[in-house]
Amino acid sequence: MDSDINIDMSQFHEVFFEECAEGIEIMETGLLNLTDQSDSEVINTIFRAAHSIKGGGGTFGFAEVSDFTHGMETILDEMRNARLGVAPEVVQLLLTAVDCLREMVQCCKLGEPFNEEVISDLKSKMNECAQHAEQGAPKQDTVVSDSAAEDTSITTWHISFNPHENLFFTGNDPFRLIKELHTLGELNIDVNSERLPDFSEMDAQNCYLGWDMELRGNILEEQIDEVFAWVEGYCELEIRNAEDRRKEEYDRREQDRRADEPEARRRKGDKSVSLSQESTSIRVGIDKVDGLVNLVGELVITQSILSQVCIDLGLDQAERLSDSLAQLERNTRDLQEQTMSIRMLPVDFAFQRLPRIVHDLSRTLGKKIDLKFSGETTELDKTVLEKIGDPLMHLVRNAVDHGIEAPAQRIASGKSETGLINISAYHQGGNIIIEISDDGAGLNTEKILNKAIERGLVDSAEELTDAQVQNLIFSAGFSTAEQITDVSGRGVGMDVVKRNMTDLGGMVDVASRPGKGSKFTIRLPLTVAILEGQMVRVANQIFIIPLLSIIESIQISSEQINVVAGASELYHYRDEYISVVRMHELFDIQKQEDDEIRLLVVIDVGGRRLGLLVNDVVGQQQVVIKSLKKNFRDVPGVAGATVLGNGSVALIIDPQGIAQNYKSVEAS
Amino acid sequence: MASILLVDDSASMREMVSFTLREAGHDVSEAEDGVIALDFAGGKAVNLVITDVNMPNMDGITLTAELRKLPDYKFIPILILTTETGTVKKEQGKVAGATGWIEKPFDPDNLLSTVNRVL
Amino acid sequence: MVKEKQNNQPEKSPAKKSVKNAIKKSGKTSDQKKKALKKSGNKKTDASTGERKYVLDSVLVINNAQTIHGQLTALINAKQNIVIDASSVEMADTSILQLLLSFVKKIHTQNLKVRWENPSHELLSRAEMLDLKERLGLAGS
Repeated sequence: MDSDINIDMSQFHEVFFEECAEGIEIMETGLLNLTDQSDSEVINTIFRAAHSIKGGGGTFGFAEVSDFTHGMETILDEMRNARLGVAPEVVQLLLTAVDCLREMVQCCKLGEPFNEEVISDLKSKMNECAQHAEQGAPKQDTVVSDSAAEDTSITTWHISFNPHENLFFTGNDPFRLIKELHTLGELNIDVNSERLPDFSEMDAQNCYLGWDMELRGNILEEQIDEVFAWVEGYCELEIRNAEDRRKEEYDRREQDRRADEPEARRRKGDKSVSLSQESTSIRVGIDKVDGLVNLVGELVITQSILSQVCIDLGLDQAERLSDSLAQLERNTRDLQEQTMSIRMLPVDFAFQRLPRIVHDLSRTLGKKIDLKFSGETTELDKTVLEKIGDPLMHLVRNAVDHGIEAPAQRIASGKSETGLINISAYHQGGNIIIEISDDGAGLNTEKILNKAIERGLVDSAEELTDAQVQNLIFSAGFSTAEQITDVSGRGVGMDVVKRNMTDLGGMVDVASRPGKGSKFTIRLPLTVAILEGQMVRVANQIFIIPLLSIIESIQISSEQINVVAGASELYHYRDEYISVVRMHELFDIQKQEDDEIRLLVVIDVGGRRLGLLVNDVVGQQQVVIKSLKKNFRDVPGVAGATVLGNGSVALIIDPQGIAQNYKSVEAS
Repeated sequence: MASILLVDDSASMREMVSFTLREAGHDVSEAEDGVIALDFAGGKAVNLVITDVNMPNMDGITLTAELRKLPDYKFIPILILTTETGTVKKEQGKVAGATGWIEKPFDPDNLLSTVNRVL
Repeated sequence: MVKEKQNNQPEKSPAKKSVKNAIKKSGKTSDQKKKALKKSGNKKTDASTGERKYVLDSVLVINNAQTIHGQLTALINAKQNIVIDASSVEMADTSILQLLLSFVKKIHTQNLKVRWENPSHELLSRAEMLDLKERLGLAGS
């Protein structure tokens, strides 16, 4: 029209996609919780979500999304007007539609083509479903236009426009309407002030004037109707075709309208007047946050160096200086904590897909399962959060598939028909613990052991505790075709789950009791950028060992180390023999004369113990993890590096990587 | 040029509309639902209100009726965002005192020309 | 929370501006006040010609209609010829034009006159659009 503003819609796409994701979650959760008609609040929430996506889709150029969602919206509308019942088939249809919508949005994001077949199939099913709704209120109120006249000739229209007294209270002004009529053609106008009262009696806010007009041009009646569309009902309007003498009476229509009691006031102010609970929030790109985290990390290092310099220069005696530096350290730590917490999100984001999975899978398998959560608000780092979704899904699937028994079987063993899967999250130390427990059949220890022996993971003569056997399911090469029920085709297995966790600096293990159930425990650090580290000295180099993995450090003498068959060295630690890793040799560092190597740091790597042999422990410290990936190849056993207070670089040990070189626990 | 109050629970819609209006030189204040909008309106007058209809806490129709009770908002233009097939909403809006509507989906040109109609 | 972003200088809402001026105007105006006030609808008595002058604000909208009605009532009661200075009018909605129309009619019934001084282009075109130009006595301007 007049404006020639070219606005690039694509800048709003990202936000729209995020909103779609949120809306889809809302719909899914709502549908899963929908039991019957009386849940009108739930139905409305689902409806609004669909409505919003439909509107946005149309606005931002995703017509198929809009069209598809319209189908869902129609069904939901029928539901909320009680013209369609909340039947399980309908809910299932909508859930399937939600899945399809999710994929469509993903395709939009990636610029991939849609699965047209699935889409049109669902669309026709939804259509059918909507048809079954009682034909109550009339459908679209399309104005039947009887001026079918495809007139290309000039018409003269007589327009008599008499606003009601209260016209101004709608914010409308006759001036604007008349101005618009001028744009349609030639307008002659006469004002009619008959109703204008005496000045002293008039209410200045009322409208007493009217106008008779003649409009000439190549104009269709709809166009004139359109001009007055907003004020219909607030005026007496007559539009006559001068040639035709047809008369339209808008007051009749207006009277009909007045007869209906409008529902405008149905939702009154007594409905929850809670102001939006979320105070204020702004969207920030994750890269900005990461940049900030990085800078703060640098600050921590610099402050650390400064403290060291102070000591080196003997200035630590200067009280004011050292007090200020101590304050600086506190400030920096606080800043770091706050910055890290920006990246923290509640863990329930990772739990979102789980109810759906349990619902669908248990239906397919004919099992009855209750899924309960606790501690969903426990927070953890965004990066960690994003990466635990898949492993969690796999563990839950596993619990449904292999853990919980079929209802008949459960009853036979004296359990309730419905199985329970409990997922709880909490903080412990500097970590987040997530437990997935089920009251199913538990792990079959014997079967696992046999399989492990079969696959050469374990020597048949070895003596292992029950716990150790159970944790064998996490070993690489253990997963069998039986266990991979994931249809997505991705190679999943318990070993992948474990690797995902250890990659994040955490771990997973299982404890199970036959007939009672299993409990998987995931432990993850709250943050990926800093680490509580134990500094150890290997000759003149400092290494950092994650405190999380250390069980204890003990002083030993060389006699206590047993050599076995010229290969690995062992140490008798408590009631087991653990491998000894000579750090000097591993990292090819020159041993120094008179520098006794006498400290063994015992670490735990996924249930296995190892001893790292070093010169000394130097201290504990929070270190900022700096990745080496940009400039160096991945070195197994090295997780990254950090800069110490004295400016030197220390490598951070990856216990998992080291453990891999020292495979099986040789015994006997 | 004008100060506008925009009420819509969809962040993407708010972004698009306020961006368009600001590009055209207007000041835009945003609210994500009717309750917040009403609270805002109690303290500040604007030249135009644009509100969506389907929103939680307080829908656009109720908001319109409530706004009309405020002295500063008795006569200013209030536009509701409706879908093409939403005749019922249009009527309800009128009764509640809305000036007119903008049909969704709309593009920036639609939006601006309608806004220009009322300012 | 409402998010605000200002593009230009914040403009006070027209309603508030006129009301503010209106408050200044109420009551008799002294010479000092006359000087202090900008073009704000103050009334001057020109004793020599028996004319009352009324200055119209630049923005005339329905929000101030009642106030203006009050001011015009005072002018009617003054029973004098009226001069309306409409040079600053940038915007006048239908309600105000209607008001002025009724006012002009009323003055005429008193056998008095209304004269327009420098009516702005805006006022003229708006009056014309509503077919009020002649009725208001603006014809020929």
